[in-house]
This record gives sequence, structure tokens and C-alpha cells, in this order.
Amino acid sequence: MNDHLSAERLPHVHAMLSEYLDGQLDEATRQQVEAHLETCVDCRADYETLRQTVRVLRQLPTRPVPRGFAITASAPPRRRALFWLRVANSALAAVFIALLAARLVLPSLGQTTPARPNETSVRPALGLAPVSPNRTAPTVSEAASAASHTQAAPTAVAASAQPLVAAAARSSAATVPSIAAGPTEASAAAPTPIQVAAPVQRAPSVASSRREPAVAPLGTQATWPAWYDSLLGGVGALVLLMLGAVILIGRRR
Amino acid sequence: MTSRNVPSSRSLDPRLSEAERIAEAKRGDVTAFNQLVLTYQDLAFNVARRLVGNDDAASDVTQDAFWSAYRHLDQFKGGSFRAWLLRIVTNASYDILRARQHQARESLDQLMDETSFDAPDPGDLPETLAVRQETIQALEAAIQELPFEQRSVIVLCDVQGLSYEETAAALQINAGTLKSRLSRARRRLRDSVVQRRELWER
Repeated sequence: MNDHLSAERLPHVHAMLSEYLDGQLDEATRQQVEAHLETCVDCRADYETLRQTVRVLRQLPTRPVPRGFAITASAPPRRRALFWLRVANSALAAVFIALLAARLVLPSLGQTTPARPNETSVRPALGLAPVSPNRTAPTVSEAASAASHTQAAPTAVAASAQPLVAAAARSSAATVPSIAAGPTEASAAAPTPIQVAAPVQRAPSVASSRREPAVAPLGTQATWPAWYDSLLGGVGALVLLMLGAVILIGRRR
Repeated sequence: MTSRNVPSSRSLDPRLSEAERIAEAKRGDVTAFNQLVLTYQDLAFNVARRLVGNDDAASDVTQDAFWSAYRHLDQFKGGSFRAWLLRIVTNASYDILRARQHQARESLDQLMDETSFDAPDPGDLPETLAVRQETIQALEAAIQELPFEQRSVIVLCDVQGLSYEETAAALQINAGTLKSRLSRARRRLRDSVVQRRELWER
């Protein structure tokens, strides 16, 4: 148990072996450690295994570089490119969503403001209206009337042949109680392109066909132009393409 | 920053000191900087490789680190360029590890597989005790299992043989912290290797 006693005289010898190994101890401490190692079998074994560990660590094989890492003045590293690709993709996606939202929510390109005076001028005429048209969405009643017409005359929808219009009409037709509109009025409405509105949640049931003449003048240039849909499709495709590139590049890293 | 891609005779001059190269590179001389890259890419890559445990990630870290070093060269205020560069490598390694912690296991296996290809011939070892292949593999695996702060100390100080001063500078820690981390890391490696298998030839 002599070993134990000397170990207690140097309680930190255990913690100093690493420094001793590197020759980092001052002379006095070094001599103390050495004297202790002479007598203490445990500490000697401790030291020997540590020494061997460090010896192997110093001999661990190094690997030649897989490629040169010289930089070029212009080309940014791929990580940076990926970052900017992500930023661009996010921005483009935001643009796409904005375009799509505008397309779905607004009745037509640049025709929202003229719609209001017409709407208000019509309102007094609707003496029997139990529910006034939604104030936040002035186009609701128009959509309802459109829906009533399309329901009464399916051929009119086919004639207008706009998928989005048809979809809107379908969704509103599901909620709007059927209103018997005269076939003549429906056919009168058919040539005027139908205004698109967001799907109607609670459409007023009074979408009177009598309002139709008041709405009709609006419709001269009321639909979204075809180039807008092309733009929408193009931006959407680009967003998907860039998303694919981002995922692909990200995975290769 | 003006950059000259055409190798100037001056920046390729082998007699140019490191400090002179750094000064040239600070002025935007890419060729001078790439001489530094040539000098340190082996070191940087091997440090990154052991810190992140995966060759592909180590390549990314190394490239990013050199780019970062080039861009922030004006922040180097003298001292050991090697330590300054390894600080960037260490930080980049830490960042990439945090981002991909879940891949730690598979990368360890990759490192183990690759190690067997270029292990030193036991006959070449200076000491009489041959370092067995299993010992090397066990140690590589044990390094990967260390917490990052201990691993970085082991890799810089023991594997790459940097001085205490350089290691402390690279890791931005003081000498006391370095010594205690090194001591704990070495013990931990020793214990896990001994535990793994009784490989030690006494």
C-alpha cells in the first residue's frame, strides 16, 4: 500500500500525466511525477497506455486531398450558389403565389374599380333583397348571378370555355339555390364573358336576373388575358424546376 | 478587390516568405493566395476529415474554409497563419456537423472502411511495437465518438502535431483549458480503445 500513500501525496498525478507526456511540466513537478511513477504500478500502467494512445494518434494515416482547393477569382463556391438559388426560388414562388391569388380573387385585370359604381347603382334597384351583397366582396352577387345563369343554361358555360370560370361557376352553383332564370336572359348573358370571383361561401339568393343588364356593360374586356395564364404557368414551371435543382444540389453535398 | 488571375512571376517565386504571400494575397492576388492553399490544403482537408468524419463533407468544408479565408484575409493580423486557417476549418466543420448530425453514423462507417486502405505497414513503424490495424480503426472510431471540443483538440494537437500554442490559438481557448481537454480526451480515447478490444500490446 506504499503506492497508495505516495499517490495521496501527489493527488493530481493522474491529471498531470498528459502534460508530462508532452514535456510541459516544470522541472520540479516533472521530478515528482517521475518519482511517483517509479513506485506506483497503477499510475505507471496509466501512463504507459496513455503514451501508446498518443503514439498511435501521431501515426494515424493521412489521406491525400481528393482534389485541389485552389480558388478562382470569379467562381463562387457551390454552397454560395445554392444559397442564392434558394433565395431566388423563394422569391419566385412568392411572385407565383401573388399572381395566382390575384387571378383567383380579382374579377379581372384592371377591372375591379369600375365594378364598384355599377354595383352600388344596382343595389337600390334590388328592393326585395333580404341579404345585401357582401360589402367586402362586391363581386359576390355578380358571381351568384353568373352561377344562376350557367346553371340555367349549361350551353352558355360551354361557349365561354374558360376552365377557371367553369370551376368558379360550379362551386357557386353548389351553394346557390337554383334560380329559374329565363332562357332568353341566359342566352343574352352568354356572349358577355362571365366575371370570375372567388368561390362563394354564402351567396345571396337574390341574384336577380334583372340585374344582368347593369352588369353586362362591364364585361366588354372583363376576363383575364391569355398571356396572363401563360405567365402564370411559366412562373409555376420555373419555380418547380428551381426547386428540383435546389433539392438535387443540396443532396449532392 | 482587384484580382489577378495571370500568375505573376513574383507570386510564384519559391523564395517568397509566407508573410509576403499573405501580403500579396491581401492585395487581391489570387495566385499568391493559391500558393498558400497548396501549402495547407492537405492539412486543412485531413483536419476537416477527422472533424466531420466524411470525405465529401470534408471537401466542402475545406473549400468553404479557403474561400472564407480569402474573403476575410484582412482580418488576419499576423501570428500563425496555419492556426488562423485551422480556426476557420474548425468552425466550418462545427457548422456542417450541426447541420447534419444525423449522418454521423454512416460517415463513421465510411471512415472505417477507407482507413483500411492506407494504413501504414507495421514494418515501417519506428517503434518496435507494431500498431495493429485494429488499433488504428478502433482509435479512428473512438475519435469520432468524442465530443467536438475534445475531438478538435486531439486532431490538432496529437494527430497533426500542432504545438499547444497553435492549437490554443486555432480553437480560441486558453492554455489551461487546452491542457485539461487534452488530458480528458486522451484518457477517453485510451479507455474506449481498451474497452473496444484488448488490443494493447504491452
